[in-house]
Amino acid sequence: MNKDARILNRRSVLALGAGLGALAATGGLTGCADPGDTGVADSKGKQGKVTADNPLGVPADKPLEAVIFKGGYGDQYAIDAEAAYKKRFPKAEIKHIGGQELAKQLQPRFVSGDVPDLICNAGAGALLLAPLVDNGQLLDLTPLLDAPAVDGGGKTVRETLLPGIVEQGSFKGKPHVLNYTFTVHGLYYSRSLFQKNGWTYPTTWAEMIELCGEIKRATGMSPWTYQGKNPSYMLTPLIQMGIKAGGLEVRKALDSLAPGSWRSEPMLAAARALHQLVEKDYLMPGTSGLTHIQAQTYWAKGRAAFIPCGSWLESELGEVTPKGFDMVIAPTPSLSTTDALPQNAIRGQGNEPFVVPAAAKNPYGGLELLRTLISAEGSKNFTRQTQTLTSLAGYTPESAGTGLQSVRDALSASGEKTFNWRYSGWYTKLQTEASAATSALMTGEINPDQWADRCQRAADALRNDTSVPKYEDV
Amino acid sequence: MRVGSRRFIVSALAVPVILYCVLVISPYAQAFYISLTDWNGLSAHRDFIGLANYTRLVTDGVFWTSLWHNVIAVVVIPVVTLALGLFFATMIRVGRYRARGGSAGVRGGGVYRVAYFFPHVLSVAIVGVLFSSVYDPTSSGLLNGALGAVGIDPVNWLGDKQTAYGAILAVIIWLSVGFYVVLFNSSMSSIPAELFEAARIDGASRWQTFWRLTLPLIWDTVQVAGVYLGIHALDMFAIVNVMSAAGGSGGPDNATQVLGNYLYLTAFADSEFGYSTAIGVALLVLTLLFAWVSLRLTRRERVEY
Repeated sequence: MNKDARILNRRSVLALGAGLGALAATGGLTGCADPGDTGVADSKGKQGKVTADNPLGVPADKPLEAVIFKGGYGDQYAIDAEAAYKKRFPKAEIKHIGGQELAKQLQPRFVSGDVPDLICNAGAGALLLAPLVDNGQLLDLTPLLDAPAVDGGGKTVRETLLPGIVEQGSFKGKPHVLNYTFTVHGLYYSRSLFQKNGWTYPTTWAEMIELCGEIKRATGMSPWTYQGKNPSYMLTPLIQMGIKAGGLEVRKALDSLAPGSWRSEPMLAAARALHQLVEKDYLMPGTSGLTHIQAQTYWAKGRAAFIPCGSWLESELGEVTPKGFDMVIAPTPSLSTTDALPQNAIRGQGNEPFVVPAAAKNPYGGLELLRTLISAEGSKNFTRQTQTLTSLAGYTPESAGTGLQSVRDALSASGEKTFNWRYSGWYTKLQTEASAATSALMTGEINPDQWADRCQRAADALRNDTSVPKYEDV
Repeated sequence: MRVGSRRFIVSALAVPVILYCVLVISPYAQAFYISLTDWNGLSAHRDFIGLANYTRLVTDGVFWTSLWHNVIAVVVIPVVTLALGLFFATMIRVGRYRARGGSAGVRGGGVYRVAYFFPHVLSVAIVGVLFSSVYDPTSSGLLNGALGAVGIDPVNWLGDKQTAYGAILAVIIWLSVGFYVVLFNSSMSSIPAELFEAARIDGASRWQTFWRLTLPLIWDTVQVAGVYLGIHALDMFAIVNVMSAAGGSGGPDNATQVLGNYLYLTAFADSEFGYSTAIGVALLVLTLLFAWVSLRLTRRERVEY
């Protein structure tokens, strides 16, 4: 080995490597993880000419991109609306993406500013909307709401929507979200099974407990099950019963993270009521270990009589439901005869939130596509495909199964008393903790008092955390 | 000559080093910086908040639960997997050592090798879905059905806090063992047969042969396998994400939460990328620590043959 060759020894190679590395690291070479300094692009898309046919002024030749959550409802309804859009604006190139876990797909696009023009942000793993609103990354939908509805006889879009829908999509008074579907939440049961056994749906909790005993004695089937691994399904009827017992103050307290909101007497009463199912062994064995699909399937196969769910259940179960099962939804029973809200009051909630990013390249196109979707025609098409109502008021679906019919009946019976709460979308951490506590409550691990304590601690922690933005319903 | 060789080093190393820096070092450096901010991951805006994420980490109960679960996994998965892997590999290779007076595997060793290896070719997601059905908590579940046949009541495998994490660990072990059976089997086959013969002539029992001969001679492989399994056990993201609720809750009530899944939930469900990255940095430190400790502990004289 001569002197020159020794230059190639390990140490010098390492030294050179380190030098090159330092060079590369300081050379401004940024990888994909860094958000950079792009900021929210304020390049508002250009508006075309506003005419009676084109009230939003969609530029006819601009491409349009829609990202649609493809879950239980599929995305055919959106593809149909895009085809209608294409017919009106033949020069527009349309890009459709149907997918799941949208946060993973869209989060980097929001950071870089290269966003689609319309998003249906639904399902597990959806984007968190509240921070997007705080960052000013979502368009104010007022132009759409004030535009004339398609075939609306002179009404604006706002005037054709179900009451409460605009408010449910508003953050600090500004409408940033349009919830396309409207679901009610209650208890499902099989009407044919109940008729066969001569059971009637209980209107008070005392009757419910009595009926559960009867169900178990007479048939040996379990009175209740729920979507065990997603315990929020059980939290929903609990909160419904609490709000119905104590009135809308209870809802307001929960949504505003008020001190003692979870420990209030109506909430505790609701927790105690549901806990009776555990004490009396009225839950299907193994419920807490079931996925939502497993639990719903067992329920449809007659292993349990009641299951709490939102009105997407009929569509989600689809072919699994046996013929002649005749599923129907009913509002939760009253806790007592002195409940503040009537028993037929039900939670009505907008779902499948549609948003238009502020940095969209063709925002007017996105708004127009949404206007097409929420029209009577778009709604009928959606309901035909999914057995689920949209947020459009007063359209008549062409065909309705027992489930959908019962949803419509429940909604009209509830009328003005229909209510909703929103903390679960604003404060995901609280919802996660309250759901976990509900799971522990329904496995008998903790009692109603401890349940309320756990939820209250989570609410208190959020209220006192100044780094968490707070929201309020108007 | 001197100048020429320097040029050679630079030109040969430049591309890989730059690639390494851009694709590996720089994301690590950025991740560390992001963990010092309150970035929500949705816009370019973020504020530098110093070590606030790390102080929060220290007081976060879920973080410690997840960490504890990872530590359990790091101990249990390598130990059980290696023990089973060594046992099966030994049985396949030298199982009939005494009975036939020579070193031969059990009958149909090849079939076993394939059968053991089979789970390893399935993707973790598929295995997770399969085992969700196996662990169905009602009496119609595969496992509970089998237990029912011998008179044991259905167990709520994934719904009960006591059993959920163990059930998931069992799946990982089931998934991993096969690969190590094949690996150990091949490294055992490189041990010269004369050594086994010599041991037998000296009157060594099978047990002694295994401890004094086989294991020392394949120790390098076992050691690497252990480290690899440990690093694998620090991840666990996919299996937990699939086998707890839709969207990967790590439930029931964080009973199966691991750092990888908690990191994911913090980033994508809570939109707290800054905090999530701090969890990631903690996980990185933990992984390095584990690799260092295990290489230290398992250092052993190498046997030449």
